[in-house]
Parts: sequence; C-alpha cells; structure tokens
Amino acid sequence: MDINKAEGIVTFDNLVSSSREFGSEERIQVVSPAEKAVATNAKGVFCQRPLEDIHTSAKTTAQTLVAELTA
Amino acid sequence: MLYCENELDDQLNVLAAIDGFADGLDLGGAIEIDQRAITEILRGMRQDFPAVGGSGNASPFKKAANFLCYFVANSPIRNPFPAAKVGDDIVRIPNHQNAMVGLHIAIDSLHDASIHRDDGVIALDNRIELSKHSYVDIIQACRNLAPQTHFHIASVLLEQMCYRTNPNASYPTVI
Repeated sequence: MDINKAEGIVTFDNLVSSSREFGSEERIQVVSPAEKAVATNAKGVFCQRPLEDIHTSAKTTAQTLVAELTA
Repeated sequence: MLYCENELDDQLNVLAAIDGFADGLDLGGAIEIDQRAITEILRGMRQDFPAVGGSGNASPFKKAANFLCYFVANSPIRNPFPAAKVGDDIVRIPNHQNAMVGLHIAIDSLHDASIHRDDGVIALDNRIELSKHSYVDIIQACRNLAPQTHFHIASVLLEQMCYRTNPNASYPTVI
C-alpha cells in the first residue's frame, strides 16, 4: 500500500479490480483528500486507527494464519 | 475503523485491510476485488440496520456482525486462496477467502472498541484469540452468512468471543 500524501492518492499494491480491462495489471487506487490519506479513520465508533496500522494488522494476521494453517 | 462519518473512510479502511491480508499471504501477485461489491457492503451495512435505534445506537458487536454478514454475502474477493497458503482444511470451504478477511476485519474493529453500559464504558482491550481448530470451524460457519438471516447469531458469536478475552466486559452470568 502506498499513500501519496501530496496528491491524496492511496494505491493498493496487492489489489486489482475485477472490472479492469483485459490484460491490465493496474492496481486499485482511491483518491482521497490528503488529510484523510495520511490518516485515518476520522470519527468512527470503533477505535481510530491509521491506514498503515490497519494494513499492518491484516498482514500480521495473514502471516500467522499461513504459518499455523499449513504447519 | 468501520461506520466512519463518511463512506470513503470506510472504503479506504476496508481496502487497506484486504491489501494487508493479501500482502501477508504473499501470493506472488495481486488479488481480484469487485469494487462494486465493496460499495454494496458499505451502503448495505448502514441502511436498515437490524437493531433498535439503527447503527448509531448499536453495540460494536452488532456493527461488526452486520459488516461481516454484508462482506461475506457480497463476496468482494473473487478468487479463493491457494492451499499452499491456507491449508487443506480451509481450502475446501467455499468462499473461505471472504470469510477469512471479513472475520479479520470484524475482529480488528472490535480490538480496543468500547461498549457503553448502564454502569459505564468498558474498553475491549484484549483482542479475540482463537485456536486453529476453532478458527477452521468458524470460517466454515461464516462462509455463507447473510444479513437477513444471520445477523443476530453473528453478533452473539463475536460478543461471546470478545467476552472470553475480556471477561470484565460480560454481564454477570445467571445460568
């Protein structure tokens, strides 16, 4: 995941759209105001957490699952 | 993490979680996402929230459960994960990829969330923990969740899992 704070674009390096043009490997991007991209979750009822933390938590969970489920 | 003030934040959060999960699986390539399904999930979970008072007054368990049901029902992750990454028990479960990622997001959302009771606010400091055996069973149980029929049982499941690691959050048992 790459957060371009200057342009306010978040690129998800591991995701492609199922509706992309045939042969395209273009990654999913979301245009977001810079302050949102930097951060965060604004005022959700659940805990507030930066995008990077959400990404890291999911990555750690998946790595743990791979280790446990294939052991 | 979910039910933010604007839907774009929810979209970013959900995509960040899926992207991180895919990164952790180290699949050697990108996974296909149905972005219209993501939109349907985020709109659906807000509309006609199946609890008195709507999503604004609902507990985090109900919110996480509603999200999980919509996520699995709309199945935004198109391709199953390979057995080399998720093992033989999981790979045999249809729609396991959406059950796994949806459950992760629900569990992550509940970590550090707080519940409001008559006697005060209680933080869910401890993350839900599962054995491998329970995890496989829960993925099997979650593979075909639908909001209209499974919302309440999904909510109770998440609540009870939270209570196990946060016993102070549970009401006193009576039976």
